Amino acid sequence: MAYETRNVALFGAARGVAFVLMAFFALGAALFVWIGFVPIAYDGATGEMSYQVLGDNLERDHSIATSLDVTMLTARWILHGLYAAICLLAVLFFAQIYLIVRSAQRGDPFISANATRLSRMGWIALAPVLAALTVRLLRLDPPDPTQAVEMAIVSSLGLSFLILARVFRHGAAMREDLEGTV
Amino acid sequence: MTSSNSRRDILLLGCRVVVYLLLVSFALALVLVVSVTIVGAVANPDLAQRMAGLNLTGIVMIGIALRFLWLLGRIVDSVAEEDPFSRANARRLHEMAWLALAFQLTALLIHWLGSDMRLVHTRGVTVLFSTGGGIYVHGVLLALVLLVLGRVFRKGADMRDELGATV
Repeated sequence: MAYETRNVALFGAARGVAFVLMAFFALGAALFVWIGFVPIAYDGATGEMSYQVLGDNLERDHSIATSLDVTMLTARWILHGLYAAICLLAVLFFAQIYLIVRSAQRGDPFISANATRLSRMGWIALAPVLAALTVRLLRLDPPDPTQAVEMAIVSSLGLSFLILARVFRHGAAMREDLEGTV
Repeated sequence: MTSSNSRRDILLLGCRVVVYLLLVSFALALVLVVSVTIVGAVANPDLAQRMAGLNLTGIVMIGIALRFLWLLGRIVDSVAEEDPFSRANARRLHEMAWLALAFQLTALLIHWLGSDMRLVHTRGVTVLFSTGGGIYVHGVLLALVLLVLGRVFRKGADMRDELGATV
């Protein structure tokens, strides 16, 4: 493989940053599960909640916690579960980048696995936009220009990944053609 | 084949629509910032002088975003023409990577310039400013991924040339 040395540095850096982001979001997911699900013990008989795992740090919030009702607790679980899920999606997203860069590093990025990875990335990027759009439509919210631009930026990223997936499938087919002719 | 083609067309159409929507929004933002700068310079020279750095950086950032989107649009066009593996695309991706890095630097600049402009006293009125900016890890990753993709596309162009030679 005639890969120059400057590729080594570039691929290494890209893999490193992707890995750091993966680790960051994995920690985030663990943290959200931890603070969302573990610390609060709910006593169904008295309707009281207490922080048993985090201990002293959150003891002063105890009075606030006891005033919460079950609905609030459920909302809290859903919210933290959602945050954790988003973090896990981010881990999945950066894992795809990591694997694609690794395949390029090993010499041949034009494999159908990379096309699948790219389309996975595209859908992960599009999912929150589609979800937010659905919620806005259901709630009949008036259009918000700032949010629209933000959504357009994220969806352009997602759509670009889906298009790149097509391009890579094309590349993989080309690679197979080449191998057939040799 | 036709179904995959029409699906591809919807995808390409969607991407083009979003890219052009963003181009229009950023162009509008450019007009807005430039006119605010001009009006500000006339109406309140004192404030305008202190805002000059921020406004100028903002204009540069919007310029970078416009160029980035323009290049993205051209790449999407090349996919529509079924010729994505070209040296032109490799160059475009390379330029987009540097634009993404430059955008990070200007975002850092905005963060700096904004940090000592939290409260501005002018003509007896205190104005509270809120500026974003700073360095984003995912922005740096975007630049790196674009550089990698640039290399990948160059390899793709080599592969296509090889195929062209063998056929």
